[in-house]
Amino acid sequence: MRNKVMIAVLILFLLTGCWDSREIEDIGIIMGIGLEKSEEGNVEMVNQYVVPSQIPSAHGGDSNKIPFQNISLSGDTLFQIIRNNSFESNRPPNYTHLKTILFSSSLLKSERADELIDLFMRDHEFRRTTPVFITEESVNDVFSTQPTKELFPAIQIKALSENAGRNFFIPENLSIGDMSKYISENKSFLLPGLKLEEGKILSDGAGIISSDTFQFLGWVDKSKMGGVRFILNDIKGGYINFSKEEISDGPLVLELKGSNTTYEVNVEDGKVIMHLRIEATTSLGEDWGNYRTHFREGWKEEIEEASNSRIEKSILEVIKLAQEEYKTDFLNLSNWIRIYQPDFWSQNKKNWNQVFAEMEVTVEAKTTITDFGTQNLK
Amino acid sequence: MKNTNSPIVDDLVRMIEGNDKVTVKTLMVQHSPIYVIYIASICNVNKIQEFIVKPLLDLNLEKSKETPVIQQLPLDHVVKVGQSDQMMRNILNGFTLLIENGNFYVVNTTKFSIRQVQEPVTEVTLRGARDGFIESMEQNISMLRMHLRTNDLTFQEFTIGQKAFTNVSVAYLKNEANPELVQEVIKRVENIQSDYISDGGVVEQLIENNPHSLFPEVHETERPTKVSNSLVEGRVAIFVDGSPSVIIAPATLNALFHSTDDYNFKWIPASMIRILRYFAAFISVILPAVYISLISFHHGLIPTDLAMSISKTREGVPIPSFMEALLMELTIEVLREAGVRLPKPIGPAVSIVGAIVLGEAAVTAGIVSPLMVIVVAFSAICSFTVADYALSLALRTLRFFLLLSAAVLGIYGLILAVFLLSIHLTRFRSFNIPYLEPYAPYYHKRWKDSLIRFKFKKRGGQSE
Amino acid sequence: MSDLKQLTSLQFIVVFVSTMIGVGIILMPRPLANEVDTPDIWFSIICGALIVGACAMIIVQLVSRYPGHTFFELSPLICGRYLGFLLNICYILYTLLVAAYILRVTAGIIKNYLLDTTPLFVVIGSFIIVSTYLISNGVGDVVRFFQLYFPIMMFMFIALGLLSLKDVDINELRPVFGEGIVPPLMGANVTFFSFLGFEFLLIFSKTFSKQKAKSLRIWMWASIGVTALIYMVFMALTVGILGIAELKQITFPTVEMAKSIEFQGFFFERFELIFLFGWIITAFTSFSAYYFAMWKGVNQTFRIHAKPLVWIVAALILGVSLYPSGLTEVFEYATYVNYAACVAIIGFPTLLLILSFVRRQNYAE
Repeated sequence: MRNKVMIAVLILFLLTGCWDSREIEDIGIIMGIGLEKSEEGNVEMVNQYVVPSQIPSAHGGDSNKIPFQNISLSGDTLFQIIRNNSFESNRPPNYTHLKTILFSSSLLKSERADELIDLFMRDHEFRRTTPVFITEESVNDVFSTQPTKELFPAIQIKALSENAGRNFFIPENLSIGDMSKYISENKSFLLPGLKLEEGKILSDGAGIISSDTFQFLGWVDKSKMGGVRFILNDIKGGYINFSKEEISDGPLVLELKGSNTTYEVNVEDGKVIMHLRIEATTSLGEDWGNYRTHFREGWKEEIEEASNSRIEKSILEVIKLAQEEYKTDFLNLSNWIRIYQPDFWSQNKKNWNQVFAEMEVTVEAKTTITDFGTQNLK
Repeated sequence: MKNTNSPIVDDLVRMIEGNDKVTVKTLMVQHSPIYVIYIASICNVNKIQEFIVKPLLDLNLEKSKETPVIQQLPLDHVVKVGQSDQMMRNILNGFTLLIENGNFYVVNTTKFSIRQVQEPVTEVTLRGARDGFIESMEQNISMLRMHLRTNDLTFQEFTIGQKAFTNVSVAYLKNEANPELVQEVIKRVENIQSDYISDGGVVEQLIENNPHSLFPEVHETERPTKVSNSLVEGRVAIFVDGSPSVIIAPATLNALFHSTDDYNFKWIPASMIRILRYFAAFISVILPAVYISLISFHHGLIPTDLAMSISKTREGVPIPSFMEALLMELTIEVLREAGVRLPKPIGPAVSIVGAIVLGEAAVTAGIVSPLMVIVVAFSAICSFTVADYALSLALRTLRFFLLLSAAVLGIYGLILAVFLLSIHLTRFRSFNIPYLEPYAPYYHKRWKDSLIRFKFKKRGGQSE
Repeated sequence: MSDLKQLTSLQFIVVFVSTMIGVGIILMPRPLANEVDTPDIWFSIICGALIVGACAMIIVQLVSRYPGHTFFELSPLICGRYLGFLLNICYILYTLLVAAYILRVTAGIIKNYLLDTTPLFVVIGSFIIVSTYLISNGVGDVVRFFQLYFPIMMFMFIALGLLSLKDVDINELRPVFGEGIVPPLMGANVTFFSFLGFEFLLIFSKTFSKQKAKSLRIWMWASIGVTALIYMVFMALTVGILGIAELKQITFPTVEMAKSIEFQGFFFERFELIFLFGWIITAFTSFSAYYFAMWKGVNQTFRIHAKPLVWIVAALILGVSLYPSGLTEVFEYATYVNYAACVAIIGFPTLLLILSFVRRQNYAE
């Protein structure tokens, strides 16, 4: 019996073939996808292929070679474009190693984001972890830059956020899975933005995608990202810089060690009042003040005050932008209404953006300076 | 050879005549003949002269009615035997046959040429007894007795083989071994129908129930300490005369992975090394298959940097990765076989030529990718950690099976092949003991000496 | 060869947990999210487990009246030859349906994520062949196999749970009972079917024929509890990572969750393999249990014991599992499978138990 089964298995294996077997050198590994509006008015897709033979090897070799190749084609659907890549390349594109998806803001002005990412969510080759970016530049230009540290522009873009924990003006990466999550929850959201400067890729604020049409609405400036991240409560670190004008005996830098935002939501007569309480822990990063004595009690009161008002200001600025200019909640504040006022939320889910615009938001920041480094240099 | 007056003796002589120098001496002791028959080449002739012939000729023996003359000889062990085929066997075992008044006696005068006790070549341990079994069963049993001094130790002797016989002895501890197990082993040994047993390996295959399985159903060892440990655990050992390897039954996969070193070092490092051995065996079976399924099916599961460098190194390799793996595996097997067959001084040279020159050249020539060489070489090295050679052979063969299934259905095929293998192991029984015991079925009490060897109890000896 | 001593409590729990956890771990979240639509879907599992436990108690009662008898043996005993035969046929059909369903869903997922262009019948066929090898030799091997893989399966699940913990957004699980307790209660009608497999008390009965009803009850609750716990952890993880709104959209949320575990700079960046391996084990164990039940049923109902006939059973399952043309159709048929399950695991045992009471049969010593 056992032998018969064994033989049957073996025969089955041998008689059939290797349907899915593709040698790794025969596939075209795609590092990045760029999407923009083509001249004909439909979608243009840039695929960044890896050219393995051009990758510089460990023992030196020619480092001038460009290890990638961009193929850009346009069409009505992404699937069509991907399959049409075969006109040009004999290596079937493989997206399992996709590092970056880059949208051009012009495309997102006319097309819906939820429609554009449909393929990425539907096809099994794509992963939900691939980060998504938006840019005002030509996508082709971005993908053709000579990356500074990494080998591929696509990886360079992805790595932009690596320091998001040290500088809160850089947005955290948004994965396409999270993007899809915002879309299915009918929320506005921010796409991390980037721009080109002197042939280099730089992180640059974020683009707002509205919840009504899932199209591009406008930019949140790089300088406002701090406020955004305080509201989103995703700050892991950063710095607050005070110039000479802002503080006595400046300039001075506080290094943010961590911050926690708590939310309080009250509904009074159909009006939402939201109170944000920020507790930031900082340490003295750099101090140019000659007359400050850190061993004296009360030395930090002024700095803490300044920091508090700075945080509050930056937050209110962002909220004003969202409430007045764009009238859409890209700050995920609806989440807290849903959690703390579920009944109110279920009634006002539909016209949330309107409620949001009229919502009253108060902010209270509390900074504590816990230590001042390894010495008092005076 | 001249005729004697006794027809039985003539018969005997005729049976041996022509193939060896059979010595038949007729001594007249007190007017009745005593025949002394032996084969000089396998007997201690001095002993015969000193303790048999000389005393008989001296005639100093008092003839008493109660005890025959032969029983009065200054010998330690004189046995009276009956049938003529037993006489034959005794003579062939190197005994001396004495015939007096139609009664047959045998005296142990064996002197086969045997080698010195040496450390076994195939089973190396770092610590512990270094003696290894040799080709003489008597000597082997003596070695076992040295390591295991208990009156529980019981031997049952059998003679098997139709054309030429071999002495086989089943050893067990009366109070430890399960009587059913002992019965089963004895039954299987008795049932052996074979013309000739050349070695313990043949006995091993003749008493197995699963001849088609790759896995060994019994242990085979040349170390007396291993036998004594196993006997204490309640197993049964089979000694085969003329073979240095002793068979221990039943075998379980768990026990096959153990080495005597595990018990000689402190329990934490010993357990760590034991786990490492399990892990290495696992890697050695599965690594090439996993590699194949990753690089030719599921490219997405490889880290990106690695994927790119594999892709780069494979560029220009003319054969598909499965064939490449097969080629490399076969090369390794050929090298290994060549290393075994060659005389000791040349053996290392072959492996150096094979490993360095051939591998390096193949990579430079672009026939194989460097990563494949790493994978295959590493899995080969891992397979050397398996303590039991029969098991390591099984694992080597299995590697090809897994490789094939991975090449056809990728990871899915590999998982199914692993299932198939584990189903086979769950069905497999060695002398009615489940092979995967104590993992499946669970025997909690025996987990103390499974993946981890827990510390010995201060009282009560070894950990179960 | 297939002798088996009585199961210990641990072994009993292992066998039943392996049988119960099956395709549910992948398929349950989406319909459950649609049904409940609040983040409290983990609570539905508890409700489902309680109902399942109640049903299991009926079966325990039945089993303890006829120790060592399988369903196929005791239904003719209770209902007489003809009605019993009919019941057996229905039960065999039910096991056929569930086995084919599990198989098809498994193959669908494998085709989606691992083997894109491999023909379906190869994926299904190889699965059946391996499973046939397992079940053709009797209950002992099946039980031992389950025991062997249970720790591996648990390890995979725990590893996956720990690895995905960093992606969990606790806010997705809030508010707890924001819309009251009623929606998650309604989810019980989805979760109930993820516990299918406990009815094999009636099939594996030989392996615990000497146990008392009381210990069977405790063991059964423990098995259901462990299963529920694993399901709950996974439901909480999927909601915490994907959010309830997204959960409603994704066909195989658990796989997507496993796919999104990534550790940059670590040698292995991706861990979905761990999950797929763990999950194929669960699918294999529950499929084999149904396959075994069917084979046993065919054996005992038609009184045939020729081993090659197992291939006929295999062919039947293969045929049925290849019948739907796509996964959408499979999910449509799933509703009918659920109805069949209701009849087979609640209807039949209750009927038999009542009849048994009426006829005052009791084979327990």
